Amino acid sequence: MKKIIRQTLYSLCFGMMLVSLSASADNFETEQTSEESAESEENFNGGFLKIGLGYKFEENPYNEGVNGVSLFVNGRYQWEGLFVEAFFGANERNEGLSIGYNFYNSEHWNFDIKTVMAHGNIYNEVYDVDKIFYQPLDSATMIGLQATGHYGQTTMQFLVAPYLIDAEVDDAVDNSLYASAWLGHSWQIKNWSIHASVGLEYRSSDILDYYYGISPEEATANFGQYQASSGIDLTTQISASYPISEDWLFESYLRYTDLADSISDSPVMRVAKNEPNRAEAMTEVGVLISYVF
Amino acid sequence: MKTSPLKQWKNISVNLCCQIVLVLTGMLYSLSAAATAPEIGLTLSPNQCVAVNQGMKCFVEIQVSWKITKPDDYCLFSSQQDTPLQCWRNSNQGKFEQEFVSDKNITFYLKQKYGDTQLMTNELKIVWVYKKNSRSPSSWRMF
Repeated sequence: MKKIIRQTLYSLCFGMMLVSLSASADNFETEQTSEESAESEENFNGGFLKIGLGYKFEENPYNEGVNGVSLFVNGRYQWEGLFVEAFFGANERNEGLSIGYNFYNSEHWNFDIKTVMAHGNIYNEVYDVDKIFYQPLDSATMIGLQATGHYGQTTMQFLVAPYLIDAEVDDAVDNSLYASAWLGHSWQIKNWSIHASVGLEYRSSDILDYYYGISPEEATANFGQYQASSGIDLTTQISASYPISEDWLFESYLRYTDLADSISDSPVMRVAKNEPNRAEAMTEVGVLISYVF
Repeated sequence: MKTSPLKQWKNISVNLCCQIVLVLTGMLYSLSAAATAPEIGLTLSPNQCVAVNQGMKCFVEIQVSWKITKPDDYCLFSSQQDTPLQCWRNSNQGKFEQEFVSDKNITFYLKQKYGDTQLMTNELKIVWVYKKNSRSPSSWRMF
């Protein structure tokens, strides 16, 4: 089953590359002067940095969440194809730090090789009836192929990441695969910019079993043996932005993630979600003012 | 009849004081006159409109004010249309208010009703928070 999914995802990515290459074939047949080529390449250089301050409410099963003043940092910079992205909250997806290389661009598509955090670190230490339930688990950074398409106000993004970078996680996981698919659309109402997106994140059974599985040796009275299967998280997000001035932006957003069943059904998460200030799903709301450099 | 030196000195002092008062009064009058005199020119309020992403249309309620020395028939134009926004008859000042929508700078200019010369101009600048650094929208990478 894993092989079939992996093969399907690889075929999908390869197919999209072929489609975009054929669609942009006319561009390559057009004569370009060396000056035009240099200008096109240079135009992809650059980026943005946005720092925001505001109120954030966040609840999830992993920790006690956030309810107060929060700092938001988002930015991206690309130079000669190499790029670094930092997305920590607000309107953008909260994917953390990522580096990559943008190797091909057509009129509507961008193709990158980039790193992605497939899962954050988890630390479980519970003094159970018979023994301590202890699981210190590192975050999993993977590397893969990303394709982003823009058609008018609609954006779609696909990522397939089959390679783990973190040695410790890689040693514990035999077959790892992270894949995601996002679809977003923007609307303009007067000077308000409204954005809505929906996304799916797939993690292979080896990855989810690493984070949520419980081996016979680890099992305790209240945390029984568990083997996690592969799963898909579903995220929906809506945001609204309004320009205060050329450098200042008002932003507000709401994000909701429904975790995969194999995560929610795990003994660890069944206990965790009932802890004070925690919830089964992930919800985040924010209102902030940002400065855009 | 001879005037005494003391009386002469008194007369000079009074004259001098009067002249100083007159000069000061004149200066004060010209200063106050300058402070209340309306500016000659064409002003926009606000003079820029901000949208979120480069290329988006910007919505703004603009107040255009103009003042000129010679009263005549004048018309206000914008670069968005060939027909005048508004005309004034035998006037040396005017105000105009309207909502504008644009993704490019808009130039406002005043002409005599039956003339071709732009007597005064001003420009509404359209700016964006997120500027594109490429002709391709896919380089925004805002998703």
